[in-house]
Amino acid sequence: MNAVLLGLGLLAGIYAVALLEDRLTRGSFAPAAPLLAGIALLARESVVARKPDRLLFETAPVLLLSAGLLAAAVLPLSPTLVLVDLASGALFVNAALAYVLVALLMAGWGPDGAYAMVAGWRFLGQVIAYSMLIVMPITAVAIRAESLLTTVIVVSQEGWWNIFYQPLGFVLFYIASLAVCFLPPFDRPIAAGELAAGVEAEYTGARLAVLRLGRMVLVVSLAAATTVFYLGGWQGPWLPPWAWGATKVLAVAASMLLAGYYLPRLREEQLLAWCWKLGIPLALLNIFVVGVMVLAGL
Amino acid sequence: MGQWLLRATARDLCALVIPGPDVAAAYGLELGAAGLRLAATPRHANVLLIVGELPAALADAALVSYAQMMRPRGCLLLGETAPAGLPIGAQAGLSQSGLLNGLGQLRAWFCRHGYQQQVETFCAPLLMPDSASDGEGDDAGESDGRHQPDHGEGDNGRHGSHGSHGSHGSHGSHGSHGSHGSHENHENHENHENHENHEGHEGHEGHEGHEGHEGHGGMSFMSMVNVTKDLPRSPDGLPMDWIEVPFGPLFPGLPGGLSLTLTLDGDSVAGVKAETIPAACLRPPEGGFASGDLLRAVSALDPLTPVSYRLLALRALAALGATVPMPSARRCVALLERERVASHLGWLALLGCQTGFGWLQQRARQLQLACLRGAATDLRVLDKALARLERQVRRNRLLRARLSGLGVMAQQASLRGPVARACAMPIDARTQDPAYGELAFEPLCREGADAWQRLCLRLDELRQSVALVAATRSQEHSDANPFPPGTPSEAYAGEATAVVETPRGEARLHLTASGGRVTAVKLQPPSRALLGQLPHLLRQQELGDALTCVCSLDLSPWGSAS
Amino acid sequence: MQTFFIGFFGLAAVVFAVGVFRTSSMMRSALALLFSQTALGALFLAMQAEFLGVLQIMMMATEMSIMAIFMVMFMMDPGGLGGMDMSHQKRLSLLAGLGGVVLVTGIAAYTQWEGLASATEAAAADEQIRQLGRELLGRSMLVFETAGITILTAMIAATAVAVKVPEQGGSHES
Repeated sequence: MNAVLLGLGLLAGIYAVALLEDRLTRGSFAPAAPLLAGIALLARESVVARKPDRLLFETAPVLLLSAGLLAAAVLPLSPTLVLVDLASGALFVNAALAYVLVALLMAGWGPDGAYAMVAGWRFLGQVIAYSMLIVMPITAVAIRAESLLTTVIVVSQEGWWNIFYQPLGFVLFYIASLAVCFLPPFDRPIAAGELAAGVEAEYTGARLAVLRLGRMVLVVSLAAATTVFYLGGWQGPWLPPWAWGATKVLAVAASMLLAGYYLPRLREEQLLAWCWKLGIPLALLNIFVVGVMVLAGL
Repeated sequence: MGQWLLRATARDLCALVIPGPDVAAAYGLELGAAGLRLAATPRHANVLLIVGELPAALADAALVSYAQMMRPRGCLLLGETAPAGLPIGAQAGLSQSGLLNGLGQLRAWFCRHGYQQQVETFCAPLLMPDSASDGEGDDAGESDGRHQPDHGEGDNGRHGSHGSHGSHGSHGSHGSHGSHGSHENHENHENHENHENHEGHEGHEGHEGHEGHEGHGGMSFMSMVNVTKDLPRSPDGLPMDWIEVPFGPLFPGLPGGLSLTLTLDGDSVAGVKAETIPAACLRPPEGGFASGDLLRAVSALDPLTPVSYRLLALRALAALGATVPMPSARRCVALLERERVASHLGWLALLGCQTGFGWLQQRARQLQLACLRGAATDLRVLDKALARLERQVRRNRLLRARLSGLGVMAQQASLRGPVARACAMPIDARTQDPAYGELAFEPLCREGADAWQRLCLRLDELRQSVALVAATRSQEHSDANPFPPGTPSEAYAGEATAVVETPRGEARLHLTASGGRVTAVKLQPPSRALLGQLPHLLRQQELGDALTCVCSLDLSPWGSAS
Repeated sequence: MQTFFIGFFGLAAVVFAVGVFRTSSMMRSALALLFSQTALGALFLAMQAEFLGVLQIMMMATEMSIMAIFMVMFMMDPGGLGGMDMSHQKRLSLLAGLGGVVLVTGIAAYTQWEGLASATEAAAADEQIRQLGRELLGRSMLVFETAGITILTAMIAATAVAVKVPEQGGSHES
């Protein structure tokens, strides 16, 4: 029952994200556009490049989709609406997201195309920049909750949501989560202007549909993670918990798409420099401050 | 079922625009409003949108792209003449209403012809015959791996026509990424058309590479030192195979028609080869150009700035002594400056696309179209919108961080236009024009000479140009052709040169005439000098930075080949 | 059920591990190693060592991917298209492999499994994490900190060795 409800919720979220993305890229609004685009992709032929590493080429889209789904599986929409409440849930989110990298490397290597190849390795560079900024803020969140259970993390935010309790962690996590789902301004692996769709360039038809779906799932998962870790999950007055959860997830997803719309893509060297010289010290500071606050009983 | 799928497909059209979205916008086409999405590669497109008449090089690119598109696919021609051999699904006039009309036709065509029981193989003549012939399936809806029509993979590198499908630049890069897949690949070589990749290694094909093959006993492992010793070294000293990757002529982040072949060492640029569109139409026919024909040929040369080039031709003919239907001097200023505004805005949209700055791309495109369609007759409204745009762009710290220090140009005598003016060189052909002198025109300059300064300079020029248009107080004609009707007279002889400051810099036209016919045409387009600078400018840049550099120069590929 | 999953993931780990050596594509080799390690992580999960399993699954993804790029960069035929034989020191590796098998079999045979299996039921997952934390920040802290610092030193040293020293009076190079 939970699985069905969560699946429907995820589908709705994906549709909303796709709708907004379509609006931002095309400039006009069409409510049926994502559905039509999906059908059109499925109806189109799907070819394999001339000398592919077939195994990696075929596995990559599925792996990307699974990574997003696994991350979503441990995130609660309401106290009862969670697929698996793992004791190490917060860590598991991160573990699942690590396979986004693997999927993109495979998708980059698989088709044996220069654009895809460069794009795949580019994402590796991006991971080196952002990965610490995912883990360290989660650590600070876990310190406050004194648990890795996602549901306990939400409960720990009664009173002060983490966005107010540890705003620094929120900002870092939010930026890093944009980078995880390679949304602009971190869309280096699929940049149209630099690599003609990069990793996606050699995928067509149904395979492309799965790849794009995987990215949408990823966006929704990351929005859900931000909600659970920082925005108090299902908490809120008047509305039922699931409604609060869903509203926050959608709002975060929308803000993630909009943020990229107003920013240019980052340069690799700057991304690395800022993440390591600024981001990681700040993340460490955040852990320290939260530790002190917890000890002080705030 | 099939019909239902097709109807959905026909409503989700994803277009690959030839020569490019920038040219489409210069013709005043609003693609997003027509419901089209833009594809970054032919693989993702189902509509090939041909805008205007294509020069030969682009016609080839169109054929190759069409071959690479997934079925169901269609081709929409806006204009008169289609490239030979391309199955045209629908045809319409070159205007927004034509586009809408054509898309309607194309949707109907999709529903009728989308799936066919018998599909004949489409093979662009430039493609290797075997690369397109295998396994063309009968049902485009099939998406299993049963058939893999491989649309022209592998040979694109040869004519470099196809940026957007970089696939080929790369075929074989598994092998060639490290040091010597290319030597050892002998059994693969037979069915591997793309020798292009290996060009750089021909020099050492066949010696060390074989060692690993034959002598693989205990220590063949160490032959790696031998194998890699002849490979080109990048500054970091790591020997890697370099691959040649085509970018363009249909690459989304470059002006449509410009085709770069970058030699990539990992993701940094080790070499550049730029190809542009030759100005074939300027070769005089037998007995020379009649002046009407010359006027047409020159104005059609660059679809991005038709007004400047028409004015250039008119001035050159007038300098030869012909009586020409020239607009008044004030009106010329208004026309030129209006085109400059539109062109700079088009460049901003391209920069937005290249740097992934969605808002800039959309907003600049909107303003450009408003400016081109004469919808922005109220200059104060336009000026206000531009001021807002300028503020937003200048305030964007990330954009500044991205562009600062990128593509620094040294001061050189050959530089022209905004690129020169961003190097603190006040070079501007407009200063010699008395009509501009009356309006107290002073060229704007900036120091710094990097991509950010070029952006700032163009933003400044946008406002300046609007002010100039306002100062001319000329009435805006909203009809398509702003020039007075009539053809130039045919009585002139001798030689003459005319100069116009186009949005990209000074264009110079030299005509030689005898007996009322123009027998020799020499055009010096603004972008030619810059194209020569590219190898120096891009060396060892990261790929994305290199493309941003190219974009910041605002090159026009049209007629730039010498 | 648990036995089935333990067997399944164990087998998967072995199959992927064999895959590492059966392919000459660097990318496939690296990824096979990755998935072999992931299967080990899943094996931990099946054995109710949840935290360790998740940690293993998480760490390996990034590590093996980074290893992959180095393999691709430094090997001469990363795609494995050339059919080049990259094996060497065959006899030694054969002996080492056989020795390993004998050792592991010996350990398995001489361990008193009965005592271990019935000793304790696995604690609940969150309790395990708590215990692990106490262990890491208590008795084992010194060991872990020493290991951590050593690795950090090694990384910095490796980077320092790799950086080209600018020649005397020569142009500055970073």
